[in-house]
Amino acid sequence: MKSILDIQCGECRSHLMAFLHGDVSPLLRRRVARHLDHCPACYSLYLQELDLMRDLKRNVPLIGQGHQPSFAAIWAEIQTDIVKPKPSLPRFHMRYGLAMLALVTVFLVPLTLGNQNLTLASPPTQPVPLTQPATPKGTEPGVLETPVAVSFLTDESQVTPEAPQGTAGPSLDVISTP
Amino acid sequence: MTEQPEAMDTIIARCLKGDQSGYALLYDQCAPLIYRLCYGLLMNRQDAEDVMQEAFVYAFKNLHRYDGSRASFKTWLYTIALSRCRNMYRRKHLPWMDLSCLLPLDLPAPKSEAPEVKLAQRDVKAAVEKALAALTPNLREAVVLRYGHGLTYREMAEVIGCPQKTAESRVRLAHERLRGVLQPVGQSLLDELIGIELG
Repeated sequence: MKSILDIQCGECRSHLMAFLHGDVSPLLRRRVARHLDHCPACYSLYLQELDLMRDLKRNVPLIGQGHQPSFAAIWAEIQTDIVKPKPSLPRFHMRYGLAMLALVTVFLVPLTLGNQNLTLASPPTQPVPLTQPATPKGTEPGVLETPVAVSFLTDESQVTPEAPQGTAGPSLDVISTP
Repeated sequence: MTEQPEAMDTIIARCLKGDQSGYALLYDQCAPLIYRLCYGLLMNRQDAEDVMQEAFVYAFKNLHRYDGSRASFKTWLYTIALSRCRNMYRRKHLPWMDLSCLLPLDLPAPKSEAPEVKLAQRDVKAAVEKALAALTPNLREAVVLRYGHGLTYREMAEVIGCPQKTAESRVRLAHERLRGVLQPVGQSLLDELIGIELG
């Protein structure tokens, strides 16, 4: 019959670290301990973890203890750093200022160079007024060389597109006349 | 972390009032711990000294920001030092190791210990250091804080800046990595000790 204290290997191993560090509830502690009593594989793992934990607990605190630095010298440097006055302008202001200066230089230099090639524009001059009509040579003023026939279309419904041009009949302006 | 909160709070109050001897007292109490933490994480003597100095300067300049109701002073100082150590990892990119850690160290040991045992212990210590240096920074932080400084998982979570379960899982993962590396060394030490006992 399965007891409430019985657990599987997976569950036991997931709680093994907490069990070693004493971070488990009393009930879970009893369950893990009971499993370890009956499972050789988990017990072997438990012993390995225990050895490792002891090695780490014994040796990790010793790391860095063999060669202590000169704490007094470091303290002197710390004191110097603490009393050192802060710079009047923070570093980032300086950085922004330099960036701004670079931008202004980049934009202004081409403009300055371009302005050197500019020439002054000449003042506008008024055109001379025409005193004689511009007419072609050999023709009288106001007379065209070729006569032009002008017809007026007043009602499109009466136009017969089939009628050939140049045939005898009344002209368009005659037809359209009321 | 075991500390006397009244004493520490009193010293901090003295510092905040402008008493310079308070700073010296704080430094005397915390410097060895912070150096050990920095050396354990960086594995380089010069880097550890630089980071410790940076951490103390920052802490002393910002002492007015420390809130005793949120965390103990040492936790706060550990957080500052750890953050500086992480900056140092990023600056270096590559893992560095101080060659001096490979040299034999003159650790104080009881006179009754046999030289063989002493030698074997030194081997284990060197192996532990080497194995720690091979871990990733996250796992090394977990091991150093847990075993080197005896922090609880809750304190580790505060210092590292992660959930408590994450701190637990990092320690477990570090155990898994270290088990394979350190098991032969531990076993050989055990055999050696048994041999000495029998002999």
